[in-house]
Amino acid sequence: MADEKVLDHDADGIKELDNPLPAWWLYLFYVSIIFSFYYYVASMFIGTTAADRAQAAMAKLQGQEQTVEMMLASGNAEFSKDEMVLASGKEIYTTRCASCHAADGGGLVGPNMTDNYWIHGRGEFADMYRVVVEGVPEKGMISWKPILSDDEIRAVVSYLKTFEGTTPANPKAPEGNLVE
Amino acid sequence: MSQSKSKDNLEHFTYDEETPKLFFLATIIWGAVALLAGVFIASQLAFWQLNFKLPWFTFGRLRPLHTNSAIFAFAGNAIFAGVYHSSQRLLKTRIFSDALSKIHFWGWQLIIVLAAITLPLGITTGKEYAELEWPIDILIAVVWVAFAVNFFGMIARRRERHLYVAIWFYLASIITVALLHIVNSIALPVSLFKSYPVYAGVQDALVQWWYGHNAVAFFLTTPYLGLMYYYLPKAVNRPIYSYRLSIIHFWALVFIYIWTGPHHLLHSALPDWAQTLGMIFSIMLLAPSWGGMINGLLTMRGAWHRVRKEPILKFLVAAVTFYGMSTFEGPLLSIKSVNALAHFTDWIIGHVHSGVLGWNGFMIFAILYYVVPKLWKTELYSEKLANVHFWMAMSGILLYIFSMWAAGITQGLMWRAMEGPRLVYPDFVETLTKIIPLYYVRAFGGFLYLAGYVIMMYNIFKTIKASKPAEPEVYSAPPLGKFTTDKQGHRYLEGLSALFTVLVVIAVIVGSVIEILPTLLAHKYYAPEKIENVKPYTPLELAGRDIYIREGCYTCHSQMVRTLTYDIARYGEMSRPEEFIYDHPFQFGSRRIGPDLARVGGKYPDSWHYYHMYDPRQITPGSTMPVYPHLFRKKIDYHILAKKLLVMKRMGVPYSEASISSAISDAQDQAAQVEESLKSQGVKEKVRDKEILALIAYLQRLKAPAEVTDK
Repeated sequence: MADEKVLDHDADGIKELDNPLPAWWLYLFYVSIIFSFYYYVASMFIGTTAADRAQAAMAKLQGQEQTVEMMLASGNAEFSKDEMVLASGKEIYTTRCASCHAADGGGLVGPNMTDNYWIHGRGEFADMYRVVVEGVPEKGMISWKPILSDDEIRAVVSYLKTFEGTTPANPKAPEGNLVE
Repeated sequence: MSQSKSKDNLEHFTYDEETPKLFFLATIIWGAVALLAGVFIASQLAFWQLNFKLPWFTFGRLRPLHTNSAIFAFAGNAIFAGVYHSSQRLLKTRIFSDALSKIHFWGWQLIIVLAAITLPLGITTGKEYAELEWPIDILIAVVWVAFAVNFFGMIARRRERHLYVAIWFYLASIITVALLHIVNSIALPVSLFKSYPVYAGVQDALVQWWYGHNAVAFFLTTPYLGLMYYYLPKAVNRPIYSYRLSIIHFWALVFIYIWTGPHHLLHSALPDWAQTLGMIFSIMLLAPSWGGMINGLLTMRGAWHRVRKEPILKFLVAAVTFYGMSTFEGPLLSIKSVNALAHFTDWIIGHVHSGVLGWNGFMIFAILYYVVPKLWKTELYSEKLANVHFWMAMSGILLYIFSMWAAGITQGLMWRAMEGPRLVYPDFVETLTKIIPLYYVRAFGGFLYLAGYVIMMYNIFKTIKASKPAEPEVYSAPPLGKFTTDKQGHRYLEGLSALFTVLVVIAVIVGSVIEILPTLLAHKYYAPEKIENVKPYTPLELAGRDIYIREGCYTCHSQMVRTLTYDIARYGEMSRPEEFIYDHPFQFGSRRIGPDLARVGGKYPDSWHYYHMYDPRQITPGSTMPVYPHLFRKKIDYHILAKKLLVMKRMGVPYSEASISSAISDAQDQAAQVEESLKSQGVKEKVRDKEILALIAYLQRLKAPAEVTDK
């Protein structure tokens, strides 16, 4: 430090030394500039755009998706009576479905699950399974396929069956067709 | 008599110590407000009940109050204090005009008070860090001009030929902030309290983040580097390590910083060429930023043993280190692949706080502990309390940053986790409840920082109380001599203040023009068939959009499905630049505490939104969203809608004369439709003409453009 050159300029008593730029700092600056120019040219003029890449990746992922028929055929298309399955179905129903269909299935935003009236199909396992998988977007029922696994969907559909014939606290008026 | 001349050709003069004193006191007071607001809104995120049921206490309205007061009231007043205090000494002249100093001081405090009143009332432009409405924007411009005249007046009357590096930084900051503020604030008023920016969609986003990032650059960085270059060598009593480094890193910083704004819009609908410019200039900014850190830290050589004892030096070392850390983190976060993980998460929140609490805050504390005893001609009341302050503030920041890193990376990883085409965590709320414990840690960190701050307030209060009135000191210097050409290189330039200023202007204009101009023209080049599907908002949707802006929904919700598979899988079709062309202002957002809303339209029935606004937890257990009962009480302001459409039309939104004249009845009709749909879905309450209807209409409209026309 002793042999460092002090410049003759004085700013309110502040002096400045004439030290060179630290070499590592200078190289860091150079490397960042060289990298940046290389990166810009490489990303802007070679290959596809980010939007195209994302679109292609998405199409590829969607190509792996199964149709509702394929999903349905992959397992047992009947209401389960297994207690474990119903318990998990109940848990899913309480966290996912109850906000629209009420905890006791009486309906709120969505239709009443306890009566014998069905809007889509006749209340068969496959009918309910399809509605849960695909949703009814125009009515506000979302597709649960991206959210629930196949097992979870089967469990919640089985749980729905247990509402049949129960008496909810505030039943919503029947919607759809009466199924005897 | 402020100056006189003696026989030995020395001029005698005094400095204005009152103006810096006032600004320092204002810094201390507003700092407490900003920190208190910060701790409060941090607690709201941990414990939603703190939003109460009062509209002006909700997070969406208080968050802008926190950010604006931290930046413009706390850091801003400190800049003015430090600039006035140090520039007089560096230029050897009194502040140019006492009258302008008064206008500057009281004008700025008035702006802050107006901000503190209007923001909680929901009077906002909806543009981050530029939320204040147009009359206040004009006031800011006027006060800033007073500051600029005062500053350049000092340069004109200086008794020191060559401008010191601190002055370069002040000069660049004053010019660039004026440019940023004016360009970003251009808007057409609808009323005294409402305006729409002239830019739309992607344009508006680019202009806003050009402004937003350079508010960080030219409000929170360059003025503080100037302050560092004065107060650090003063407090340490050592020469600046390298004059050459000062020169190179100053010009590199001023030239490069202005380009970096688009790194706030990576993977968005902003054109790739602009995004990539934002990224590479951020990377090139690392070395110039570190130039400031190196020059600061190496200036401390020979004084390190004093750091152990002296709180001022502790704060200085920590401030410069935090500066180095956050200017490393910034370029890192600007790398596209890192940004894909970190953007919209708390990592960014942690990053800005290491800047503002660590760099700006600690620098302010160092300056206060150094300058208050000097200005009030006394000793610091307690060095011990200052040390306690340091350790409390330091622990507070570390808790803050670490919790935000953990929260940000956790949430970012949960958002992107996919198994084939399926999201592993499809429920957004699950990614939020996971990080709530970290929000408590963050709030506690903020509380520690605030508690340390209160100790500083007490310490400074006691210091000032012990001071005795003293005669103003008289300084002497020879008058400014004629410009001579005996100095070479940069020193030569430092003698020519006007030329220096022109070069700074050129340095900041180049990047601004290259990035902004093509984007401003971009709308003309969108394919007509793509725009065809994009319809202007209906009057009721526009009313709803303004409610969305008023409530600060953008502080927690984005409207930008990025070009990333997991964004598309979670929210739907990626956002395209064309779909935003009628969005004055844009509402892309910068943080997802709740899910993205760009594709929420049609996803749920009207009644879902109705119940959700009334009690979010009824629909989404675990949600931390505030409740909005006032939307169910307040009536839609139909009468202003024709005026709103007219202003929009002036900015190029294709509303016909007929649609403007029927705006009010159209809105009433659409509101009746929403009301009818709610009734059919079982809503029993009377909601005629209530604001909730407009908000639902707007939210249901948020769809991919083709779907909007299909309905």
